Amino acid sequence: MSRPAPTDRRATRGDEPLLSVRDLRTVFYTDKETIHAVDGISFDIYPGETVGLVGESGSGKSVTARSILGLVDEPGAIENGEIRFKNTELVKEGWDDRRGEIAIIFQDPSNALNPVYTIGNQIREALNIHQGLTGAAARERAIELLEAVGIPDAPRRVDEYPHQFSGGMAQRAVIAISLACDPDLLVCDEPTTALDVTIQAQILDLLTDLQQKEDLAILFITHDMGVIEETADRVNVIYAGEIVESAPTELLFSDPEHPYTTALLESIPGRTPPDEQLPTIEGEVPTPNGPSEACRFAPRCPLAVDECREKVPDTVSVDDRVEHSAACIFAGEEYGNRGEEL
Amino acid sequence: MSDAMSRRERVVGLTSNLDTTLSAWFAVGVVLFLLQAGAVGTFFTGLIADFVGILPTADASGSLLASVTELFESLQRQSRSVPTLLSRDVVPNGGYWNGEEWVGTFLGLSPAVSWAIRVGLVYLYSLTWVAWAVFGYRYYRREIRVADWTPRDDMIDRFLSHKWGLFGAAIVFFFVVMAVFAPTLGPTTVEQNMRNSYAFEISYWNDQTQTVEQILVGEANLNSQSRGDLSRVMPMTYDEYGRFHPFGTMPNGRDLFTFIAAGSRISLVIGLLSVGVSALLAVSLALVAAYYKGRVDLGTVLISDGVMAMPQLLLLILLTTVLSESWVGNVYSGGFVLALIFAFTGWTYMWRSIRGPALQVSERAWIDAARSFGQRPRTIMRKHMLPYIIGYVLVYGSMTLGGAIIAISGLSFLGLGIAPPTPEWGRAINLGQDYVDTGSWHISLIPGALITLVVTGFNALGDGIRDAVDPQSDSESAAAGRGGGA
Amino acid sequence: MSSPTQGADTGSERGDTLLEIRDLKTYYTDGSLIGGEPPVRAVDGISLEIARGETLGLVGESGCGKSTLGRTLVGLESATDGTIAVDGTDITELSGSGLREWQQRIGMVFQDPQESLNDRQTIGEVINGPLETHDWKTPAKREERVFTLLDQVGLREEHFYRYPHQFSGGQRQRIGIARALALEPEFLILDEPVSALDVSVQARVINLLEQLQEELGLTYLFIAHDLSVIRHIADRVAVMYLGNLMEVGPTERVFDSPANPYTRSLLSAIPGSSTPAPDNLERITLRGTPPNPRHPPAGCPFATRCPGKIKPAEYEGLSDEAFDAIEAFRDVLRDRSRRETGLSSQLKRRLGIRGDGRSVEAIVGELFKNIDLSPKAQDVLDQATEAAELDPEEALATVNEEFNSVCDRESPAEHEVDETGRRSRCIRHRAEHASPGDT
Repeated sequence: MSRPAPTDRRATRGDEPLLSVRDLRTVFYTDKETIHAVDGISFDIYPGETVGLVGESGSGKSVTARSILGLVDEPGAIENGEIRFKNTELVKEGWDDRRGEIAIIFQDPSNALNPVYTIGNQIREALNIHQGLTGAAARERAIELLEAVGIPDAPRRVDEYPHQFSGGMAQRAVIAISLACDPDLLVCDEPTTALDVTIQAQILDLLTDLQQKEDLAILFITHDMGVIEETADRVNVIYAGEIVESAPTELLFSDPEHPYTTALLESIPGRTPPDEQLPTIEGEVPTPNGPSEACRFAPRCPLAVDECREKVPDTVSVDDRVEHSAACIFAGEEYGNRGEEL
Repeated sequence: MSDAMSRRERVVGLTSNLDTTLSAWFAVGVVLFLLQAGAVGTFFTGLIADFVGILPTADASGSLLASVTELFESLQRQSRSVPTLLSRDVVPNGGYWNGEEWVGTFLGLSPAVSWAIRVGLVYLYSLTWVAWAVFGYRYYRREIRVADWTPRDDMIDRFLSHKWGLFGAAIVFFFVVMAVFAPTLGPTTVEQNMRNSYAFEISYWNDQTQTVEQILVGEANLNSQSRGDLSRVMPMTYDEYGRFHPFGTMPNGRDLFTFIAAGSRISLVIGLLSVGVSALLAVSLALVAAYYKGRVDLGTVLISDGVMAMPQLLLLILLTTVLSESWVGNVYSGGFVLALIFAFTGWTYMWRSIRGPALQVSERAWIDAARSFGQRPRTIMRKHMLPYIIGYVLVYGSMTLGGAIIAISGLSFLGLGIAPPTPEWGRAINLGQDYVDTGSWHISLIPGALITLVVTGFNALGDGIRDAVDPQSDSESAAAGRGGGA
Repeated sequence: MSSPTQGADTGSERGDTLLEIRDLKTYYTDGSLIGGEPPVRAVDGISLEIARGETLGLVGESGCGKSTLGRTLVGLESATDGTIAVDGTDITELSGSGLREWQQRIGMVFQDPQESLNDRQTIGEVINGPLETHDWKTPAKREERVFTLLDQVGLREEHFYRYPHQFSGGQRQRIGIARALALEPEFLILDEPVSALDVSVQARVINLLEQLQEELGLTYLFIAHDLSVIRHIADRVAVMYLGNLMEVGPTERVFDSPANPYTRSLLSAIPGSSTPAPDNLERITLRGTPPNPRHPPAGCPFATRCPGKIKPAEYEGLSDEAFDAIEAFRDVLRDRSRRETGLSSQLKRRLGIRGDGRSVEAIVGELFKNIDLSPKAQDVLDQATEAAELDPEEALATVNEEFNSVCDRESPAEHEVDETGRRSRCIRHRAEHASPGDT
C-alpha cells in the first residue's frame, strides 16, 4: 500500500551474495526417530536485500534461522551443507569469527531480554563485546540506539528494566541490542507474531527504515503471507524442510508456480468472498522423519500424479531472469493453466 | 449410531475372549491371599482390639466398648488359628542341639539355615505379589484397556527407564516387606526376647554337662550381651544357647535383627500416617487456594507461615511429655501422637511444594472451559487439578517419609518419642554408641547404615517419580544421567 | 471447489434479539487486602445487541477487553455494572442453578487448543464433561451423543479413547468445538478460535464453524484480532478499544467505509495485498501503545493516539506537525508521571538533583525541530520543559490545560452513521467538525 513496492534488486546489483546457503541439512535425533527438520535448503541473500522464508509451523523455518546463527542445540546437528557468509564457510570454520555480524530477533521479545538487567546494561554489554565501548561512551551509544529504534524518552528508558516495556517497545529494545553489534545480516524469526497489528505496522516500518539507513540484509521468517508480501524482496516458501518455491515477491503472489504456494495463498480468508467457503488443503504437514523419497506435498496435492509419489521432483527454473524456481514436476510452461483450475 | 454400538459390542466380545486369562489371574491373587489370610486377619483384628481397648472409656467394665474389645480379641485368637504359610510355626528356627542333631528346627536344619529359608520364603512370596501385579497391569494395558496410549503410560515407562529411581524402589520394597513381615522375619519375637523375657524358657545344649538344660530367656540374654571387645555376639553367629543372631546382639543381650525388624514397622507406620495426614491437608488446602486464589490463598499462606514458625522439636518434646500419661500418648507406644505432630507441623512444607504446581494448573484454560459449562468447583478440583498434583504429592511424600524415619530415629536416639521397650532404630544406635570404637561396633553401625540406605532409597524413589512426572525431564535427557550420580 | 453458503445476511434481515447488553462494565481488582491500585477497566460501558442466528465479530488489539466481554457473557467473570438481558432475565444477576441453566444455553471455544483440553482425559471424557455435569439423560445416551458430536466436527469414532496429546492443533480445536456443542446450546462464544492455527488449518476450522452454524442455527460471538477472518465470517462487526465499543455495524459497511478513526487505523495497518481494507485507505501508523486500562483517558479513550484528534479551539491554525509534536511530548510526560520510578531516582527527585541534565530539553529540541509555535504556546512549552525533570505531573497538567482538545474533555457519544444502523463513537461525527474520513 503506502510502502513502495519491493523491486528485484538482484537485477541491478552485481555483488557477491552476503550469505549463501547450500544444501543445508539439519537433523534432530530423538529416541523414536530422526527428524530431518531442514532437508537440503539452498538460498542466497545479497547485501541490503530482504529475503523472506515463509511456511507453516513445523516446516523448519526457525531451525533454518538457528542453523545460520550456529544455535542448533542437542539433540540437533547440522549434518551437511554450506553456510558461506562473507567468504567464511561457517559450518566448517565455526561462527566465532563472525559473531555479531549476524544478529537474530526472536518472536517473543520478553524471552529475549534478561529481566534482572536494565535495557541499557544489556545494550552496553553487546557494545562492549563487539565494539569495545565502555562507560559513558557506551551509555551514550546505547541511548542513540534506543532513539534509532524509535523509543521515546530514551535517556530515561535506558535505565529501565524489561518488565517496564510494553511488547512493541521490548521488541524495539531487542532490535537495538542486535544493532549494537553493527550486523550486516539481521535474521528476524517471526518478529511481529506476538504483537498487535498496529504495533506490527510500527515494527515493520522501523525495520524498513533501518534497512535503508544501515544497508542491512534481512532474512525475514514468518507464517504471515501479508507481512512477507510487504517486507520481502524475494520469498522462499518452505514445506516440510524443503524449499518448494523461490521467487521475487510480486511474482510469487501474482503467479505462484508450486501447488502448495497456490493453496496457501488461497486459504487466506481475505482472498475469498465472504459468502464462499474457504479453499483448504486437506491433511496435515508431514513430519520429515526420513530421507525424502518423493514429493512431500504429494499426499495433499490436488494435482498429484503417480510420478509425484515415486521420485523427488527437481527444482525447476521457471524464469531465469528473475530467478523464479519451483520444486514441482509441473513447474514451467504447462502448469500455468493448471493453476487456474485450482 | 450403529458404529458406536458395534464398538461397544466389540469391546464386550474382546473381554469374553480374555476371560480365561483374567480368571486365572484372579485365582492366583486369591491363592496368594489365602496363604497369608490368617496373618492379615490377626493383624487387623488385633489392631482394632488394641485401638478400642485403649480408648479411655474402655476401663469401665461391662461397657459396650469392653465387649467390643472382647469380640475382636476372640476374633484375633480365631484368625491366629488359621494356618499361614509364612509363620514361625511352619518354618521354625528356635530349636536346640541335643548332642546329635537339631531339635525343633525346620526339617532338623540348623537355626541359621531355617531362618534363612523363612526369610527367603517371605521375600519370594512378596516378589510373587509384585509379579502378579506387574502382569496384571501389563495385561490390562495391552489387552483390556480400550485406549492404546495414555499419558500415564509415558510416566511409567519413563520411571522404568530411570535406574536411580528403580534402585530406590527396590530398597523401599525390601524395607516395606521387612516392616510388614516383621514378626515372621525375626529369629525370635519381641514378646519372647524383649517384653517378657522372664516369662519364656528355652532349651539349650550345655557343653560342659553335655545335657539339654532349660533357661529363662532373660537370663540367657544376660549371658549373651555385646559389650565391648571381650563379651560380644557378632552378626551371623550363635550365642552359647544355640540362638542364631543375624545382626548380633545388643548390649542387653537381645537380638538386634528382631529389634530392627520390629522397629522398621514402627517407622513405616508412623511415617505413612504422618505423610498421609499431611498430604491430605496439603492437597486440600493447595487445591482450594489455587482455585479461589486471592484472599483464600493469602489466608492459607498466613496459616502455614504461622505453623512453620512453631519450633517443631520443642513442640515434639513438650507434647510427648505432656501426653505421655494420657490415653492418646499410649497408642502405639506414643507413635500415634508422634505421627500427628509430624503431620500437623509438616504439611506446610508439602503444601509449599505443591502450591506452585496447583496454581499453574489452575491457570490452564481447561479450568475455564469446565467453569464455562457450569462444572462445580469440587468436581473441577478433583477431575482437572488433582491429577496434576498427585505426582508431586508422591514425590514429596516419598522424600518426607525418609525425613520422618530420620526424625523418629533422632528422637529415640535422644530418648524421646517411642517409649521403650518398643523397638526403634534410633534407640539401637543410642544403646550402641558407647561401643562404637570397641569390638561391639555392629550395634550402632548396622541400624545407622540401614537408616541411611532406607532414606536414600525413599529419596531415590522420589527423584525417579519426579523425573517421570515432570514433563520437563522428558526433554532434558541429562536428568536421567544426573540421577546416577546423585 | 467451493459452494456459496447461506447465512451471510446483513443487518436488515436479522432475526429477533437473543441478548441485549446495556452499559456493561467488568473491572478487575487485585485481591490485596489493603489499598491497591485502581481497578483494571477491562470492559468499560458497552451496549450491544446480538440477534438470533447472526455472527457478531468482535475485534480489537490485545488487552482491549474483548475476551473479558466474552467471559462475562458465560459467567466466568462477574460484571461490575450494567445488564445482559436474555428473554427478560438479567444474567449478570444469576448465580447457582440459574447460572448453570444459562450455561447450558451457551458454549465457549477457547483460543489455545493446547491449553483448553485437559490432557489427562480421553477425548470421550472431555466431550462428556458438560453432559455429565448437567446430568444429561442417561450415561448410555451421553456416550451416543459424544459419538454424534465427534462425527459432527469431522472426527472419527476411534478418537473417543485417545488423549489430546495425540492430536494436531486443528483437531484439538475441533474437540473444543464438540465440547462447546455438547449441550445443544443456541449461542457460541468463540474466543480467538483460529488464531493459534496455521493458515491452511484455520481455513478448515472456519469452514466447519460456518457449516455448523447453518446446520444447527447457532448464534456466534466471534472474538478475533485477525480482521481478514472477521471479514470472512462475521455478519456484523464490533470494534473495541480500551474497554469501549468504537464502532459497530454490518461487516461490509464497516470494512468498506470505516467511520471511526480507530477502525480506519486498524484496517490500514494490515499488511499484504489480501487485506480486507478498502483500496483507497492510506496506511496510518499509530503512535505508541494503548493507555493503561487502570488509568484510561478522561475524554475519548482513543484520544492519546488518534490521528484525527481535534485541535483546541484557540490553536485551530496550528500546523499538523506542530500538533503532532505536542501530542508526542504529552505522551512522554504522561509516561513519566505514570511510571514507577526506582528508589534512587525518587531520592534524586526529592533532593532536587537532576538525573540526566540533557534529557527533557533534548527531547523537546528533537521533537520541535523546525517547528514554529506561537509565543504563547512556546511559553507554555518552556514552562513544562522546566518543570518536567522534577515534577512531570505538574508539567503534564500545564500542557494539558493549554492544549485542551474537546477529545480530551468529552467522552464521545454514539452516533448513527448510516442507514444500516451502524454506530460509531467519535466527536468528529458531530455536525460542527469535519468527519473522520476527511482528515
